[in-house]
Amino acid sequence: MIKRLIKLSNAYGAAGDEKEIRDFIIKEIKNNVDSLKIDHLGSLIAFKKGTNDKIRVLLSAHMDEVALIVDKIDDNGLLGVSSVGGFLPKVIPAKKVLVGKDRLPGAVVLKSLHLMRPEEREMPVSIRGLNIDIGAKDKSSCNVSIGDYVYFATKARQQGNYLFGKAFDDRVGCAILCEILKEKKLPVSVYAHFCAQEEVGTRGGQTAVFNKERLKFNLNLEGTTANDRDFINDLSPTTEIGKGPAITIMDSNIITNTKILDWVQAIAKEKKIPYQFKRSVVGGTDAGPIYTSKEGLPALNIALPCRYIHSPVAIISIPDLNAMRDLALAVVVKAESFKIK
Amino acid sequence: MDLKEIILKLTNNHGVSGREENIKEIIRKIVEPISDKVWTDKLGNLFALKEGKSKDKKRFLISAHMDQIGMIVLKIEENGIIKFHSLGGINPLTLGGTPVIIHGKEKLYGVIGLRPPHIAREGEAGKIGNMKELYIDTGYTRKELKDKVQTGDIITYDFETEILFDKYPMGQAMDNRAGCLTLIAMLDRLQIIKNRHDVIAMFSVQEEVGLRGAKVGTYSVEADFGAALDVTFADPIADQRDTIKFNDPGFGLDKGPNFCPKLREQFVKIMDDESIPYQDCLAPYPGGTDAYMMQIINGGIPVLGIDIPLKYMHTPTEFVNLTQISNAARALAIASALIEFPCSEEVIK
Amino acid sequence: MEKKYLKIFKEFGPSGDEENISNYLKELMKSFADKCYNDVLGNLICVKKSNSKNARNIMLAAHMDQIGFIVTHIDKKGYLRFHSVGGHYPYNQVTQRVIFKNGIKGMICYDNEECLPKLKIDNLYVDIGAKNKEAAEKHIKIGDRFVWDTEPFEQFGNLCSMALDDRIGCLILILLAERLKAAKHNIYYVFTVQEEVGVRGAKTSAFAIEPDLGIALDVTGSDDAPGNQTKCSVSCAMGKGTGIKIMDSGIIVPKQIVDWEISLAEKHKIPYQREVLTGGATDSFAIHLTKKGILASTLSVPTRHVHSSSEICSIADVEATVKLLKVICESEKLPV
Repeated sequence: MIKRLIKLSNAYGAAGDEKEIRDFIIKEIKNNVDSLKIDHLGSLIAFKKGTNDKIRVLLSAHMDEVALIVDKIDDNGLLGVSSVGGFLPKVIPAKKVLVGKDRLPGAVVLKSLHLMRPEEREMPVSIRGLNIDIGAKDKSSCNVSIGDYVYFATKARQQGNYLFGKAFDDRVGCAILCEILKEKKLPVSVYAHFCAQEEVGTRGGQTAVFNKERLKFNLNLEGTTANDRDFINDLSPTTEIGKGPAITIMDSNIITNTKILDWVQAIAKEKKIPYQFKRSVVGGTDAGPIYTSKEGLPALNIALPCRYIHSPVAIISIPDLNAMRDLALAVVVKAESFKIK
Repeated sequence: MDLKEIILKLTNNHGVSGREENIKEIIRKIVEPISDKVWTDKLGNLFALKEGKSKDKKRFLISAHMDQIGMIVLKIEENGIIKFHSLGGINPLTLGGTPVIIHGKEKLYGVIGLRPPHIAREGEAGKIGNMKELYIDTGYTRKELKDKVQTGDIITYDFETEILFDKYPMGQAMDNRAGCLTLIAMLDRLQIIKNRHDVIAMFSVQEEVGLRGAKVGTYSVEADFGAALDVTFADPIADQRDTIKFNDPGFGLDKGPNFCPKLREQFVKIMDDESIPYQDCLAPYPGGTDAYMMQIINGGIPVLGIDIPLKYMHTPTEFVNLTQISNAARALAIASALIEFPCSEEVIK
Repeated sequence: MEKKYLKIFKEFGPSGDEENISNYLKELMKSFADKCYNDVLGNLICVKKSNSKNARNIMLAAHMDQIGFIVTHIDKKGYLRFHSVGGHYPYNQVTQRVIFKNGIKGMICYDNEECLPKLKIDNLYVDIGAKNKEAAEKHIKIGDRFVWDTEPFEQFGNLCSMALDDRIGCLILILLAERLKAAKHNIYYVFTVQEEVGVRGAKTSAFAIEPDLGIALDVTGSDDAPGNQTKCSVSCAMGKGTGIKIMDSGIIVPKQIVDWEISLAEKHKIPYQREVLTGGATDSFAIHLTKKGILASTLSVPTRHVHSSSEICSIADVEATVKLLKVICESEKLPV
């Protein structure tokens, strides 16, 4: 799984440009599923029949990552960008990037410190004020068009029990879904909805419930904020790495049903899988639109704590990742025992 | 079809979000003779169908919202001034000293009055401040207003549309009567061009207050693919980004995650073959047009975003360009004859 | 007001944890309905079928959830940090007494005086008097919800309580169910969940019921408190009748429905006011936009100090709302 996650992290795929991720996942799972299709949004939907086909679980994880998009080409060949997904502008300057389909290398450039006026040094960074230089001499020779995506050129690496890399939000979810689908036989049927376009407003999640039958509940796998290195005094960080996957009780678009919360905690305790709660109520995931689609569907969001999420390099813990896989698999295996009433 | 005559008719009649009956009847009269079937739904969306000629036809939904931004009467105060609230995104800076019409039991003229410079307070010369502090003066007292105005009446700007240089209409509600005009002109072209697919033109309601018409309209039509026609920013005074050019003959074609690339590639090819000009319009996020809803409702459909460039959006003096409108109408009409349905891809059955 | 009605305002039920209030309302409703059940999200749906031949389906929605708080952290000394569930004003919370589902009580305090001018929820904590973290954790878990702890009372013909938004709507439905003997239509009394966090319960229940007409019962603002003179944000005032909604940020009520409701109110001499609210939405927002579109509206009870621990409304307005609603349900013909 670690190898697969590293490959997924190194691949490029922002909202609307998920093809590389999708193709990789198709290659990984096509021999393990009963049907596989791509919908008009770009989401990939796999179905795997289980021993009991009367019960089907909707598994979801999103394929897209946060990235930049070219919105301006200057006569001198410099590029201007906007974001596709949420960034802090200050993580962007002076990074190596790859531009467009040909992945042209370039850099997000800042004027040399020496040339900055004192007041310029104090100014906050804004994405609009940044330029990307790909070494082109002018507009006509730069071979880039408006709408080309720009990715951080981060390569994932392992160090001890930790993984460094980009796009763990939400390639960890994708990697774990692949693991579940690769199980020989599952007791219940599963739909694995690899969602497109989460980072621009949970678009894949808004369509995930449709054209599927006999759904019992949704398990959404995500990456989430871990701010355990900078927390103040005795106030909780949102999550901490190394303490297991985080279960969402409430965020900006879901309040998790207490029945499903109790049920998943019982499973974790029985299997001795460590877990924690996400201790802030901000952010939203695909589970939100899924649980209010149609007549409503119980949904559960389990997320892997990632330090420095939505930046060029995030850090995760490998034991957390393994625990999250175990918990997700246990939830699927025990799906028949879940009762809403 | 005389585009100038129709745009005057479309913009000099009101149809504020949630109260579109007036403009709907006008559009209905125009489209009835050029469509096979016309109907409305519970929210007031107006649909016009032009039946497809091919056996393997699909349903192609093209939406343009017919509502405009406006204001609504909140309350009549003791002294006869009328408190109001915006319906849709109104910039308070456009309201100072503005003449308005209240569409109550009868048409009533008013002005959003401000203190004159002589007695203006320190520092308020360039400020409008909070819209809640503004009011409309009709000259009448509260007693005289009794049978004329009540809470909930609709208010629009008192501005008649002008056509500049014979091809640039300027006035209120160009957002999105320009889109409605495009849709009408497209239906007119389908009298000659044989459309392969069923074309359903949706004149949607309540776009300006949250894409509400498109939400239920898309659900009921059950289309296979679609396009949303709306306006986009072409202000010459915008910031450093490359905006759409107003004086270029090409309309805007959206590019971004919201818009199906397979559909877009085909559409671009059709336009290149037919030498119809267009401009790329970058949309990194799902925008605030009907396309947003069409893409996700009930599982969603692939959509195109067609943009009519417009200057000075959400003011009473919006500009559009009839050449661009005419080109957009032509492109959509030809597309409905040629385009292939980009079905979802089955990797394994 | 009878004790059993006042209890509606006291039952525990912040968004997402509506079990207690749902059980109590079910108790009150069961003798007036053919069937009562909870759906996946927890909405309580009570159905009363009509014998009339031309019966249509009317969905009446009042949300039973109340705004509340959720524990996000328990510190070493046993103090609780929390976040709001639904829309809260931080300054309304200072020194409020609060209660948990299991009966544990506490009080909301602020960090220090410096934070007061720009008070945020993060600056507040709950003191339950626990000795330390371990002692607190015996009773409270992260994710537990709590609400204000105030007593409802009647005075000068008005009702003052927390959670009038929207237990007053629930009370209206109960009163209607008690009085409605011969409805011409099938009535779905829906006590919705999670309205305060984004009108979620009404969305899924309307999808399942797909009624011909949907009416939400909820509170609206009242334009008669001091400080409201120049900044007008609602057209209604307390004590002047039921509010017939024309518009809020969630719905523009179709003209034929507004006109019909007004004609009924005038015919039966029920006091009413035309309501335009400039901020806020109710369950009718979700009902109206369900599937192919459903005709919907809201009847409102003008209320002062909405989203505070002591909201005030006029009992006469509640009566007027019940009357109008009854007339609506007894109308042979609906404008749909």
